[in-house]
Amino acid sequence: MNLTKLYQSKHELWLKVLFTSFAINDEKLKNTIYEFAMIEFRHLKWLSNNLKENNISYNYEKYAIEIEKKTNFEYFEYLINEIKLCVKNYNPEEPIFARMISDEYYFMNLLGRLLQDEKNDGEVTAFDKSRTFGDKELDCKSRDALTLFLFEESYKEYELILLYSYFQNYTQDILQYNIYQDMIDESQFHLKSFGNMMAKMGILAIPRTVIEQLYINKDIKQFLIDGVDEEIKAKEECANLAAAIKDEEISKFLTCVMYQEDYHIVLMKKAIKKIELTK
Amino acid sequence: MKNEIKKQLEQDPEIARVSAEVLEHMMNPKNYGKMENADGIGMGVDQKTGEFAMVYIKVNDNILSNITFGCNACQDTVVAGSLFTEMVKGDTLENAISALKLMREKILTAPKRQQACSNMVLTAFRAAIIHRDNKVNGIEEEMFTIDMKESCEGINLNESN
Repeated sequence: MNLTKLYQSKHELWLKVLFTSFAINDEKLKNTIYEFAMIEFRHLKWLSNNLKENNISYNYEKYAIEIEKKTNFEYFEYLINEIKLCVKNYNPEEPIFARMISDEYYFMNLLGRLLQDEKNDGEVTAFDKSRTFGDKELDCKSRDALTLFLFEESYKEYELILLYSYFQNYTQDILQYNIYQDMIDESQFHLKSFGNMMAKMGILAIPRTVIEQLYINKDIKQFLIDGVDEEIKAKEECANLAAAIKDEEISKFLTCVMYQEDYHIVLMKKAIKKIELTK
Repeated sequence: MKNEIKKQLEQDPEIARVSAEVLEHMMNPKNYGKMENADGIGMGVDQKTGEFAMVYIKVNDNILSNITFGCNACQDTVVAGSLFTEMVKGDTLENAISALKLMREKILTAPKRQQACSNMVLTAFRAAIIHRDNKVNGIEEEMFTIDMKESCEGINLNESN
């Protein structure tokens, strides 16, 4: 398998682990698997850097991923198999792959141990389309508004993670690098929050593919300028939804996200200024 | 056009509300993604917002043997793309064009913003057909692009093609 294809497999593996963590109901298991998803994301970052250093192009194309399972155990077995398929393509002589092998063997071992104890099994409700939110009572309008918001925003956060990662990999500027890292971290938090909310409502779905016109040969300054406008719109969406949903807990969370968007605008303007100064 | 989808479209013109069918298309969009070696590639662009949809087509003996789409747009575009590509895949080009017209009429009953977003996929399909025709006539171009007449921000833009 060539490295560009391997990159695609690692990208897909990150999503498989990440969305398994969202799908599982048990908080402790969810967090354990989420930590591994973050390790997979770091693998992906290192691999993209390795590809850049070797002048090999890469993109964010992915195959359709069938993520729906009925039980925790089905997920554990699925992840073990998926990791095995990926590991087969690593060159253990290279330090980056030796590290990946070490992490993923540990993860497979952990999943194997979880499979030994029936208490770790459980029903998965992340795809049942119930569109209920725990014991909260959402009227039809609020439920539709929240559903649309979660689909729009989970895709947007996934897109931003990938785009900022791409720009980060190709920038030579430390300030820009750090700002992109902050934006990636913020979007990871939002994606986790929205993914878990979608799972709770039974509407979990892996975001669609981010098309390459959005990041390859992109004018980053213009992307950031447009991004400021999008953050303003996202803030408005959050405010509208927070007002429309008659639930204090959800509204408070959305208000918190809204203030986070404010600081994103500050960071993006700082990056724009730096790009202008370096021209 | 596949009968069950045609029936659904006739009975259920508001394709952007969150019905069970719409939710299914949101969770699992059909025919999403880039197509290698497409016969026609079309793009519909909303210049005001920068949003766009792309449609890739493969035609064999006048049959639309494969059709996929991609977009940088909202869920209305995703749902319209998923629904439309499912509807016309495997059908003749003539039937696909009839389906486009029918879907355009149905979209007119939806709110303005949803009309523009849903139309983006249909415009991209029209552009893909033009791209394929141009190719047949020896015109080499990466894809064919049509600017949207209506922006999802509700501002009329001039259709350039």
